[in-house]
Amino acid sequence: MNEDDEARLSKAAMKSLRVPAPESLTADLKRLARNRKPAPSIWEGLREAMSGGAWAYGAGAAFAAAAVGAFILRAVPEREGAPAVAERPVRAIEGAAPQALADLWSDDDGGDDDEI
Amino acid sequence: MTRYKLAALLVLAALPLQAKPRAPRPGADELLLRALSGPATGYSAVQRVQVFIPGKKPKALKVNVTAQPWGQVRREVLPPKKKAAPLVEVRDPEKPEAGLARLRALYEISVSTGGVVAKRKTWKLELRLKSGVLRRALWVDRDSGLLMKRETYRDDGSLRRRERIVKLELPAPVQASFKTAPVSGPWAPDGFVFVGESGGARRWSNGLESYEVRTVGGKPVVSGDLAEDDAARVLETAGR
Repeated sequence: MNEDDEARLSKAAMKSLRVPAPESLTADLKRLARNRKPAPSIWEGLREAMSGGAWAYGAGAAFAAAAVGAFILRAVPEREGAPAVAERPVRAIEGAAPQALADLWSDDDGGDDDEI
Repeated sequence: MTRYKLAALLVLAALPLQAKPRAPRPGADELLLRALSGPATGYSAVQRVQVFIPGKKPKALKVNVTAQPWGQVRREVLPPKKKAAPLVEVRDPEKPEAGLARLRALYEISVSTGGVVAKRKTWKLELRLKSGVLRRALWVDRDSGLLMKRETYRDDGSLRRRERIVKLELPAPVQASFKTAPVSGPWAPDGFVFVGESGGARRWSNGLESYEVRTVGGKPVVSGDLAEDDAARVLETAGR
């Protein structure tokens, strides 16, 4: 039990016994109250947490850069260049085998929707 | 009537003034010419072609389409099996006026609002035979004139075929010219290729549908799974 708690306990005991507290005790309590630091405000704590040290600035900047980079990569799809027709041999469409043409088709649900 | 009610009524009455004015409906010929000319910019798209055969499950294929401004269109049909070779076609544009004249000769054409296709507002063109039978419906992008969707119907009104852009990038960078393989013979609709000749008839197929051209009494005759306008265009070029 520290000195502060001891003084308070004495004061509470005096009060319960309806005995006036001695002057010295009252003076002690007042001194303790004066010396007590005010409780830090929640905003102050937040500010301190955010300002941090130099390393925190670096870590924060790196995180922000990574987040911005990830957003850009996701938001801007890779643009498809012009189709590489020159490299791909154009299939001769004269005399195509009927089976090869039939293989181009697959079963469908018959829906009329955009591609997702 | 209290003052408040009057004020509320005035506000309600004024709301239509704030509404966006409706786009004027274009004429059928103007819209068809735009659709036949194609967009003024290059584009790339994914098109789904569906064929509906009575009593069977619908079939579909996917086509990657790239096009130059008012120019050639390259169509690459992607087979479902990755090992199979794609079918690549490069189509040269027809003079829009010629296409319009052919359609006008065959169909009665009307325009209505077409809703949204691939996130783009469209006008809808209905092409009816002189008998009143609806043969085709076309959905044309209001901004660019690109043909977004086309449906073809049988005489009984059932849907036979649907070609629809399901994904579109417009404008899109497209190379200046496409490499083409020389194709001889009459014009063929998209996806149809020459598959052989027998008994004096030349035959074209897309794997599901087919048609043939034969000469009867010195004149070419087309028979098979083609709408009247496609058949007419085949006949126009049958002498090649």
